[in-house]
Amino acid sequence: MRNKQQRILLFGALAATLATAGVLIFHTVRHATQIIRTVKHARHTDEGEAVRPWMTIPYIAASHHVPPKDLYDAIAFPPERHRPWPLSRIARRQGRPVDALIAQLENAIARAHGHALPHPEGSPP
Amino acid sequence: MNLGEQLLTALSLYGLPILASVLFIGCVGVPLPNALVLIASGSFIAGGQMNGWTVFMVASAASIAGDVTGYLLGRWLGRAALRRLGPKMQTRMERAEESMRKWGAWGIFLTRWLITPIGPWVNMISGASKYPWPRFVLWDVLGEVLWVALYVSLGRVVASEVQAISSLAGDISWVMLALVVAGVLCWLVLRSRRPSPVE
Repeated sequence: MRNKQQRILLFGALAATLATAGVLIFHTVRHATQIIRTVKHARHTDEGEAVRPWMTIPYIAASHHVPPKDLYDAIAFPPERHRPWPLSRIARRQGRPVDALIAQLENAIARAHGHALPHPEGSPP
Repeated sequence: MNLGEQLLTALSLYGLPILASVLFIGCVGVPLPNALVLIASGSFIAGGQMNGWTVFMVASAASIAGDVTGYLLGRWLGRAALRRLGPKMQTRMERAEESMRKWGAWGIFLTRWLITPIGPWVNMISGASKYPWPRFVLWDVLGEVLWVALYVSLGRVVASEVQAISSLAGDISWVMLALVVAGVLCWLVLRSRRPSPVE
């Protein structure tokens, strides 16, 4: 009797694990397809990862294939000699919200790629 | 900013000390986004912000140190705790020791780089079951060096999609874990269907 109960439990656990594995595989394949599509699109259009507050200017420049100097000029910040700062710290130093800084950088990247974006409100071109 | 982004901010500000601390604490068992930090380091290498060899050495050393700490915790605290739980746990521990002798090397090696979510547990079980430490360190070093090399290279190659790639690497680890558990359960089901000699 106990053996039978154990077997039912084992079958139940196996079914649950296989179902979980199936869902995880489906999710992973979909996720991977999305990433491959994004990377392919980025390579084709020269677009990089979306600009985030943790990124540094050299990182953004490498990701978007843009000269770092263009980005430093766009945000009126001197090129960093040693360890570069993340955008969140540059924004704090300049006393403005990081979103405004990101908008300016996105604009500079678009300009470098030859297609300008509309200027965000309140920020210089 | 979420925890991952805060860690990435700290990594880009302070570099190696943050990389080493996150990997060490994560390998001891605190759930931190180790893969994200490692892949991001690879992308910082690609961007010229970090040095490849230094990252490789520091990341490997920190991960191995974290694993050995987990092993020692299991050896000192795990055994004492199990002893307090009574003779039934003692019998189970003996069975675990037997399994570790049989499968320990593969278990340690694969949980370093392929089935990473259970890595810290395997460290503690290895310690608690008195798995020989030179063999633990050997398989641990091989696995961790492979893990660091794989993830840092991935970060260098796909430098523009750090967050997406690290979350995909996490997904793959969970899929591998589910498949291993399913494999073990399949084996148990098949074994339970075999008629026992007593019957």
